[in-house]
Amino acid sequence: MAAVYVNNIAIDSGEDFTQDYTLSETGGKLIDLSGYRAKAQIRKHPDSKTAITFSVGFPNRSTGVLNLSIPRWTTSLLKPGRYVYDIMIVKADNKKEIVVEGSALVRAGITTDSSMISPGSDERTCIAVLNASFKSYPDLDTKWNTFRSTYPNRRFYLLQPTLVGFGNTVTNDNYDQLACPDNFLEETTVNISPLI
Amino acid sequence: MIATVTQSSTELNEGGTVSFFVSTSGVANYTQLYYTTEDEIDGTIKESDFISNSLSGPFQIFNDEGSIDVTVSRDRVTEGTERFLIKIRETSITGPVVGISTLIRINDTSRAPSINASGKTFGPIQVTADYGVTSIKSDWYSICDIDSLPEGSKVALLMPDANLTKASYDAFIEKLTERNITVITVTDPDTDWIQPFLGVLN
Repeated sequence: MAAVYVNNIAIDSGEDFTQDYTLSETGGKLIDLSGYRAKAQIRKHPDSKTAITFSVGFPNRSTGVLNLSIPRWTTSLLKPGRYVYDIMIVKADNKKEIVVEGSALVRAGITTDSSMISPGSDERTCIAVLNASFKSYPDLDTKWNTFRSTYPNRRFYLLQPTLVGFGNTVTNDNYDQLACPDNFLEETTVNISPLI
Repeated sequence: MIATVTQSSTELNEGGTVSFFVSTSGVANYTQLYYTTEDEIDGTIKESDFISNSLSGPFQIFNDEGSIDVTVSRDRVTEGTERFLIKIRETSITGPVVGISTLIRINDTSRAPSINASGKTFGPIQVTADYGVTSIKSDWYSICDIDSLPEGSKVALLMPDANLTKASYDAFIEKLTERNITVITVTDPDTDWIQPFLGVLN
């Protein structure tokens, strides 16, 4: 069982926030996060009804590395002051555990420029809705490399309309129908909670 | 010599076994034949994909029958779906081919969940093919976390089949409009879901 680490963070309002965490067991052994999910939220008080949810990434699951981020247009909504946050991991057997908690000091930005706070082309949310693709794997593989190297900060959602619909876990058949390239699948979060 | 090859399955998961049954006619008992494992695309199948750590081997014919069991390794490497077949050969693993199996698909069970999730890429996510029926529409606004975008933002949308998800799309647009979020519609004539997003999206 992992210890609950206390880690206090500082967030500058109106700026992008990102931080990596390396999770380890009590004895120091790195936790293999393969198959794990995670959720992290920040609230004014533990009992506050409203919360802002961090984007969670797993830059390296096998060595226990987890990344939290909040884009600047969301941090700009936080008023300066002290908040609390924690990170909950959900293991492959669906057991949940808080692994990091702490306070978050939100600091006011000095230089403000509202035109720079909104997401621009490089951070555009992209949504593709289609049930099948007739493209080939190598072709899409190359294009996905180009997409991610050119636009590392674009959020990308691939929605597949099916008769079973939302909430059903995808299988290899879904990947095949859309000709999902391997490099896309290596970095994607499939339709697991909290998306469901 | 002609060898007929049948198989127990044409699809298996990592860790699974497929059995190939070889039938011949008039072949002496204990005749040694050979099999080689070959992939659909050169180079994608390798020794480590199999428990035996080998792509070829001998087997014997008895009463004009022989069999080969092939077990696929279970790993955590995302390789994508791979397909292979076996060829039956006389005299050696490079000898003349006397029989070929059909293609066997290896499902890459190590794909989900993803190896290292970026937190910026999501899907495929199944949504409802609603065909305009509002009672079964999907909430794209929530699924795509549009609430985290500020008012006045833009999202880029590729949706080649408008009829397939008309109800979900209409509800999505209604919610976007409430928050003054506009849609940049992108298109592609060839079901390519990456190409339309490779350019500037203003």
